[in-house]
Amino acid sequence: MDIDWSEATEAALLRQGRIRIPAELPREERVGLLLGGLLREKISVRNRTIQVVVRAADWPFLRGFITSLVQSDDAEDEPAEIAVTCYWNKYFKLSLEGPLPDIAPVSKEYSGVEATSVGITAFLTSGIGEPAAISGNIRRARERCSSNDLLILTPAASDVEIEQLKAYLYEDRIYDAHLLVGAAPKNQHLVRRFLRQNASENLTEDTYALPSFLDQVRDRYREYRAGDLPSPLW
Amino acid sequence: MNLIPTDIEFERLSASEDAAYMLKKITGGGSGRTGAVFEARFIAFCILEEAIDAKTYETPLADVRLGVQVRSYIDDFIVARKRTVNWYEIKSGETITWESGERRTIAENFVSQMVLDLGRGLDASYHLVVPTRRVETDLEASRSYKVRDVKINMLPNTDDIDDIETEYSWFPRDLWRLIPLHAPRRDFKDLYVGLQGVVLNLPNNVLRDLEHIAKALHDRYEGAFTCIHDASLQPRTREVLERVPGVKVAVCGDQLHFRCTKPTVRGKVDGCRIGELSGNSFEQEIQLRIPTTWDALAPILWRDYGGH
Repeated sequence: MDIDWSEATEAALLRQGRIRIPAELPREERVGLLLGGLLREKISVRNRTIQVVVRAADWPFLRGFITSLVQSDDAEDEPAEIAVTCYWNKYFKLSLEGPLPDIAPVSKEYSGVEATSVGITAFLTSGIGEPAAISGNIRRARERCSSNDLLILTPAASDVEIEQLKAYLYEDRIYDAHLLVGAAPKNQHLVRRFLRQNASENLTEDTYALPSFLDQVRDRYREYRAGDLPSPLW
Repeated sequence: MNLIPTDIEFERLSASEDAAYMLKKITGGGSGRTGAVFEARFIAFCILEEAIDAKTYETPLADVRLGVQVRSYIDDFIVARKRTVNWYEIKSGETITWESGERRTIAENFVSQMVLDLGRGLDASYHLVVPTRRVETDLEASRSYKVRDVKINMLPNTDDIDDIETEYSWFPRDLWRLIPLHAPRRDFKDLYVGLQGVVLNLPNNVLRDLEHIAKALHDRYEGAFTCIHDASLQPRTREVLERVPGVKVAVCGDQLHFRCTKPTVRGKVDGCRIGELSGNSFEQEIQLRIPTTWDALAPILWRDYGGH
């Protein structure tokens, strides 16, 4: 697994104003915007299909992330399609009490991807403290549809968590993941003061509305690409 | 009759030196991390096989009894149906031979167990479980006539369902019976590992039936998994649910699974046990509200019904 660090998240969270992100937006949305920016720095999204994989617990990051993917000075640089896959997990830390790995069974799954292969799979998460949910969900998404590039985006990650995640990805036969971290490990505690990791089970009440909403986002973006809508944003 | 041999039976039915060894033997544990994990994997695999069988042939779950670290010569795992018994010796090592063992060899333990069972009039079969085909072939080639009736079983030492499929093609295919409606295969791995968590917490030297294990599985993972017989929905509930465009439902164990084509969603209703209190309140909700669109149905499916 390759790893890229960035100072972007810290900058946005700790030194607001030096970055062109409106400070009045909710914190999660700002971080989502930054992680989207990180993705675009790392890889060209031009005319490619992007599958965003996310746990239902992390959906507050999604709005900013998608916004930053479709914000571009040149329409030619925009992705061909944006589809979200969302998992409602539970998490059981079996590794705490014995030799077994953690498990993250899925209770519900939404998939907005209709094709059997996409260009980029981006796993967006508030933290990698639940590695079984990350590797398991990526493997599930891969089972339904393959992708050329796989990126995992998180605002902060400690060295221990990264080592654990590597082991889980390896067990799930995922060898091509690329981790993009918003803040270096030495600044992790600073970021965590402002932004906590969401536990899989820590859901807001209204996540039932996500599937319909995400379908609308995808369809709206399609219409925009076809020239029927002036803006891709909802 | 007790399926686990008693001290008196050891003394009466075994050779005197065997009995002397047995009465001093400390059973359970000591096999190390790799050994314990492989044992748990094999036992979980057997439990899944038995649970799928019980569902397919609609036999009562209480008919199958299982025991781990039983006090006997062959001690790792026992599966019993009435008076038919399967003894399993599970060896994770890749250099196992019939002569392996510190105080007594594997072959000696099998022979002592056969003599004892013969005396007790049990209808028993004997299995040695190994992790690779190579060990299996070596053991087949080197066995003596005394252990000719021991079956050698191979299970890949992995949690990955695809790896197990290369040896047991029925395994992932039949697991649909426990997680239906186009579940991704990766879900089966969670079930498999989860069941291993239950196995590692089973008490030593006690026989438990499948019903007990199914309950432990349900309780430990708050209803995330189930392996009991399928309940059924009230016809009226099913009718209302399936009238919503694109929606399909299936009851698996006591869980209600659903699938929709627009939007593409699948999953199960949390804390809803069909046929129990929580299931009834769900069905009541459906029958009262009569949702006709996905948007009206979704909030009802997403609610947690408490699991009572």
